[in-house]
Amino acid sequence: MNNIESLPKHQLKHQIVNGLRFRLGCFNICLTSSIADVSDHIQRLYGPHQLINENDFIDFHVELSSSSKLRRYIRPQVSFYFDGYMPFKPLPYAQAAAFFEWGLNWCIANHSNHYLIIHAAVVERNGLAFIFPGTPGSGKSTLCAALVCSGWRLLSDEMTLLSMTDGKIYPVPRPVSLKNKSIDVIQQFSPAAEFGQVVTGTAKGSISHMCAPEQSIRLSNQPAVPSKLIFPKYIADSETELTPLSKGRAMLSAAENAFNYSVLGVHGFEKLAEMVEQCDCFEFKYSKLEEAIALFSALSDEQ
Amino acid sequence: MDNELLIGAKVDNIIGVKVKINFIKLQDEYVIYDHLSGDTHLLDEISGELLCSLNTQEMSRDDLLKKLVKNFAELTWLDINNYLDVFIDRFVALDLLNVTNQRA
Repeated sequence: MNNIESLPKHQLKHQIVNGLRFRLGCFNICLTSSIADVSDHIQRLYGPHQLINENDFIDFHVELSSSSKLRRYIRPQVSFYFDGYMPFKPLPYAQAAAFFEWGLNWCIANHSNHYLIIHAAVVERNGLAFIFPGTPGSGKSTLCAALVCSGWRLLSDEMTLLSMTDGKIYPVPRPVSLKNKSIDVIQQFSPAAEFGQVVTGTAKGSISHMCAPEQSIRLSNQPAVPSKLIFPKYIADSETELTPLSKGRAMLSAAENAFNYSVLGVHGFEKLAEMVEQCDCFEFKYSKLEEAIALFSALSDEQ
Repeated sequence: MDNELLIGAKVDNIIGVKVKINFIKLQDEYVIYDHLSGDTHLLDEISGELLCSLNTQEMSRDDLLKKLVKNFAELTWLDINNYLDVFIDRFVALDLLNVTNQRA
């Protein structure tokens, strides 16, 4: 089956209007939209993702459409639909591409209970997954983007999908969402990285998405073994500091960062405990990406 | 309460878990899962050992004290008593433990 990038621009646009069906890690997506920003976003950032057949099961049918006719002229808005249902209030039209990403996050986080979903970036090197849980502003996406630009495999910048059956982490390699100063930081760190448009004035400030590496997308059917659970904290001008964290405290923090821990009940507890037992756990303070990458590369080489 | 009935009688508390608790020992800490509330708690080793014992069977306060003295001999009697009070109060407040009076 072909990839999205094999479609000429006009054909891609046409397919998105009629429902573009593609593979995203372990999920099948059908995206429908006639909004130009959305098709541009897909063309720039989703090129290596595989198209799927008409008959393949779709996990998430999503649609982005402009609001009523009047709204097209006065402060235009965009609505996000999941299975024909609108879970969110409309957003300004200029945020359509970002809305697709946020909406898809919500779809996965709320409808994938065969995984324990931790709010964490996750990258892989030498077959081992490094998991970086963190609240917004902790610097996990920036760190994740820098690692990915340095050759690590991207599994996700936002959601760690821990399988409830085999305890491995399944990839869902999507564009890395960067905010405000992080956009410039990563553009300077890796000038070759491809970015989508910068969307300003969102609830999170300015947002831009960095393209996931092609190799990460090609390997998106290969899970990774959890190895390190690291709680990052970006602190301006701080020294690079990796401090061991007790497994008990790490498990509690990971549970607090999981979207569906309460839904999975005791099964979520058991699976998370299993994961924490096999991971080394740390707190991590940083301000210099180069030092962070050198440290994690050395850590992954030790194994 | 009928005071006459208490003369010469020893009153002890029987302590047990309300529902079975899932727990895991990670290094020198315990993480427990409360089925009723869905909450997860982090416990030090001593509390974890006690709660695991109570998860297996009900125990009297005296038995718990003896167990603590036996396993944690480095603590003073007063420390152990205070520790046990705090332990019981904490987990009763969390609705994990039941305490019933029993006359021996």
